This record gives sequence, C-alpha cells and structure tokens, in this order.
Amino acid sequence: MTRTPFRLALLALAALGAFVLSVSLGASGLGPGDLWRALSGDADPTARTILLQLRLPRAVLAALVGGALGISGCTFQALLRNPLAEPYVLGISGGAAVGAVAVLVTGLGVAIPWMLPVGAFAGAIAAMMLVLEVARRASPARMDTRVLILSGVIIGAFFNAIILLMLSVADIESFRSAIFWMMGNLTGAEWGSTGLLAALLVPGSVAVLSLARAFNLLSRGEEVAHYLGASVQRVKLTAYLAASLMVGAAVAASGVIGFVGLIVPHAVRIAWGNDHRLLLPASFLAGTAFLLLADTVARLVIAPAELPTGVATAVAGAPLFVVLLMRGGRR
Amino acid sequence: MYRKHLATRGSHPPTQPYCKVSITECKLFFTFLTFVAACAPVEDPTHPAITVTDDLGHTVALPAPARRVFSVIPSITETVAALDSGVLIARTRFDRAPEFAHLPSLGDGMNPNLEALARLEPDLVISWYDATEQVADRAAALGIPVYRADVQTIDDLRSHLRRLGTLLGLEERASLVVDSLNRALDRVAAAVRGRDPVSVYYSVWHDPPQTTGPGTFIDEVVSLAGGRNIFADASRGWPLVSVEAVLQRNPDALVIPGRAAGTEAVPWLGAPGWRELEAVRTGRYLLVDGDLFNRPGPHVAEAAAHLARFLHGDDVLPSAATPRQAGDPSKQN
Repeated sequence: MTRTPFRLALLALAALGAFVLSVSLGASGLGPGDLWRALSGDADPTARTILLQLRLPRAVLAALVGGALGISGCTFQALLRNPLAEPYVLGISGGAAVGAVAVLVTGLGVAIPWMLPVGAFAGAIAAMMLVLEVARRASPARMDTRVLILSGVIIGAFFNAIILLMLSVADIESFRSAIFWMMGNLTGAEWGSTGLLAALLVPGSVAVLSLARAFNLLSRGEEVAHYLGASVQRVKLTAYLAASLMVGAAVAASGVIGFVGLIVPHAVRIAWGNDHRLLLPASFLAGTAFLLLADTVARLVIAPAELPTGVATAVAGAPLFVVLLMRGGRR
Repeated sequence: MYRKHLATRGSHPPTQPYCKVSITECKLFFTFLTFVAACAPVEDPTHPAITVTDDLGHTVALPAPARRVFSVIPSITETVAALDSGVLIARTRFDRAPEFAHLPSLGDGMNPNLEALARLEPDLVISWYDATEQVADRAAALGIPVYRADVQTIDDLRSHLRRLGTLLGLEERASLVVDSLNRALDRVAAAVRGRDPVSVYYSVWHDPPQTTGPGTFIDEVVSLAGGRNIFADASRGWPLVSVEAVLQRNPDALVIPGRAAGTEAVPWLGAPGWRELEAVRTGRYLLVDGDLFNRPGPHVAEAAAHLARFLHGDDVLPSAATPRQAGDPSKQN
C-alpha cells in the first residue's frame, strides 16, 4: 500500500504526457510550438481554431472517456467476478446503439445534431433499467450476478437484432454514419456531451472508489464478504448503477469504443496486483492515457483521413494485452 | 433460350426437385453442349448477334438488341434512358426522377427483389462491376445476360454510352448523345476559361467527413466549372478526411450534395471546425441536388453548368439549360 501514491502519480504523469501529445499532434502538421503560440495568443486564426476548437475538446473527451471506461470496466469485473466482464457486457452499449442508430436512420441526427448523444444516453439508461429489472425479478431475494450477466447478454443480443433491423432499411449515408458511430470515434467532440460525461464521472468515480475495500472482500465470494462485514446487496447495486451511468455517458459522447474497459483493468492487475484501492484509480488513469494515445494514432496513421478511435484501440490493444498476459504468466 | 427457362420458373414454381441426375452428369452434359456449340457454324441462328465487353472483362452476348432492361446503378439507368427510356422495365428506389415514376421499384440496388425481377423477364441486367455483386450472379444464374459496369470518370460515361448503344442496337443515337454531352461540357469549360480557379471542398458526406479525390467525375466536374478540388492530391477516389485537414486547406467554397437544392441552413455546419471555415462564415456554400451531382450520368454537364454559375456568377452561362428539380424530400427512400 505504501507504493500506491507513487504508482498513481506515475500514471497521472503518463496521462498528462499523453494529453499534451494528443493536442500537439494532428493531420495538419501543427506541433507543440504552435500549441504554445495558440495559447499565448499569437498564432494565426486557422491554427488557433484547429488547436483550441478541434484538438483540445477532443483530447479532453478522450481523457474522460478513457477514464470512464477504465474505472467502470474494473468495477464490472469486480462486481461480476468474471474476467471477461467489461463496460458493455450488460447491454448498455447495445441500448445506446439502438438510441443512436434510431436517431441516425430517421435523419434526426442530421436535422438536430445534439439528438445523437441524447438518443444514445436515453438508450443506455433504458438498457440499464431493463437489465436490472429482469435480474431483480429473476432473483428477488438477492441480485444474483450470474442472472445479471445472463439478462445483460440476452438483452444486448436483442438490441443488436433491433440495430440490424434498422440498418437493413437505412439509406446508404445514414448506414455509414451508424457503422462509424458503433466503431466508436471521438470526432464529434463538443462541450455538451463532454460536460454531461464529466458531471456523471465525478460522482460515479467517487462512489465506486468508496467501494474499493468492499470489492476486495467481494473477490473472496459474496458469502465471505457478507461475514466480513460488507453489505453485499447495497455494494452491488451502487456499483452497477454508478458504473452503468458512467458508461452510458461515455458511449453517448463517443460511440462504442471497445477494448479499453476490458484490457486496461487487466493490465493494471497483471502489473500491480488485485487490491482495488490501487486498481480502481489506476484503471482510470491508465484508461485515460491509453485512449489519448490510441486516438492520437487514429488521427495520424492515415492522415488526412482518420481511423475510428475504436479501431485503433482494438488493433493496438489486443496484441499489447497478449504480451502483458504472457509476461504475467512467466512471473 | 433463357427466356423460356425464365417463363417456366416464373409461372410454375417447381414443387419437385429439378434434376435427378448427379452434378457430375450435369457437368458432363454441359461440357458436351459447349463442345457442340463450339463446332457449330458461324451462321447458326443461335449465335449472338451483339457482343460487347463489360468492365469486368466479360463478354456480354445478345441474340438481338435488348428491349427489356433493368439497371441497379442509378447513373446507368439515366444513361440508358438517354438512349431509349422505353426499354427500362423497372427501377430501384434510388431512381427518383419523375421520368421513372411509372416503373415498378424493385427495392434498393444492392439487394433488389430477384423474384419480381425474374417475373419481368428482362433481357439485360446492368449491375456493379464488383465480382461479389449478388444481383449479377443471381441474374446470370437465371440465364439473363449481365453487363457489369464501373463508372468513375466522364470518359467511363462516354464509353458506357457507346457500349450500351451497341447492346440496345442504337449506335447512332449513342454517338449523338456523346456529341451533345461533349458540346455541353465544352461550353461550360469555355465559359470559365481564363478565370482564377476557386478552391472547393465537395462534401460527399459529413459524418464521417468524406470528399472526392483525383480521378473521379466529380473532380472533373469541379475542374470544368472553374473550381479546384482541395483534395485533388488525395490517394483515393473517395477519401475520408478530418475536419482539421479541411480547415487547414481553407476552401473558398463548399459544395454540399443533399436532397434539395438551394442555400438553406445545413445543421452540421454549426459543429466545431465546420463553423470556423471561412466559406461557412461568409455563407459561400451551395446545397445541390445529390441525385444530379453524385451521378456520373448524362446530366453531368448540367451539374457542371450549375457549379460554374455558383463559383463564377450567373452571368458566365446566361442561357444554360435549367437544372432539374430536386427530388421530393418526402419521398426519400
């Protein structure tokens, strides 16, 4: 535990470095020098616009989304005690995607741009309530996490079917927009949905962090945790709601960016062990750093075009994770 | 021959297995048929009277000029109509022009209703050139001749006009259409000759931002109309680009194909990055009819004239043909 502050400071520094890098690099070739000039006010208007209106909001959004996915992924893994758990396993991304695709296919997204995050967030909340209600009715006495997984997976599958139904009647342009949205990308960064994410991320993270000790107990089994003094039902419900709200807001702002929420908590766990007092904040910071770097790569690799951020996280994330897994096994 | 085959399938759906012989036997039989066909004399009446090569390199052979045509490519549908609109027997839902309204729609071009198509007994189906195109494979399996087309440039359009002219037995008409197309394009080019090119961003789609690169008919239309495509140096014909790259290239004007022509507000131009563009702040953007601009069909000269008037003022082409009406937005898809 004594090394925890040091490790968190290290990660915070890495996240800060990734943030500066993300704002400094981009398709137009403006570099760190231009960033300094833009901030001090003597850059040309185009450079100022690119740096302060495009890259800065996008970097802020990437930082928040990465953090939200990292910490909620870690929470879901603790709550469900399942290594495959990740932020989208309980159907939240499916619900958000139904909302987003509906907005795009009906053309509402073109007419009223802010309807897209609103629709996605509404879909995420609906999915969260639905999954919880099904799990509660299936196991009234206690919220059985196995039932929670099953109802999440099946409701997610149903949402996917609805999405396919809507896409099959969509016109070609909204079809493309919908597919791109589902790959996850940070192109549409604007302060509205970023603000909503920040507003939910602060209380959500605090709530989850306060459960760190309970998660440590929970990892020994619900019964053991109960006898060791954790109020298991309250912990599970709080964790579920807090993590779901954070994921919903993240997805509303950026679409379904995969892999971050799965591999970041695992990577931290492999490196530094299973103490949630370190694991939760470290997952947040590592998620932030990872998504900032992945998004920078996504913006640069085929410039002047851009990859969807979710493609970059998957392509970079999976091999990185395999390496970590093998090194962890050797230790 | 294929017609008879089709008629049988169309009116009497088989309730029994077609063929009780093995696949090997069938193959042997067809090999034999091919051999017989190869031995047949050239004057044989079944020998195709018309052959052209399509864009996949396949030979399209017709016993007589095509009289019943279905095309899944909107630009080619318009090209066929320019030769003889009477031969079209169906349309896709993207063929929205009033001149096609009387034709039955077979759905979208990627996945048209094949059963309805077979019932209409086409003698020529025109499909995209991708070898994976299902429509083409299914139609070919039904015995219908298939012409696979790729249309990227105005030269491709001329070539299709000529080849389709051959397939329809209308070579002279095709020459006339090509000549008048060339004249119309020359007229636009002459009108803007000597004027400074206006740099143009052409928004194929805004989310994700997609534009046109070099070697496309839109790139040609922009140049013809006295414009300069700001992504003419892209590596692909239809590149995805970032808003950042658009901002940096700072176009003088934006061209936005949509469902309705005019200069009313475009909501996404209010998004960060777009709203800071000088062309947006000064209102120098043009909403055009996507069905006119995004199609390498016989109306490209109209598109070029329309664009030339936007870029260089109405007086550059005083007596040009009136642009077509935009599609009715309530009927989109």
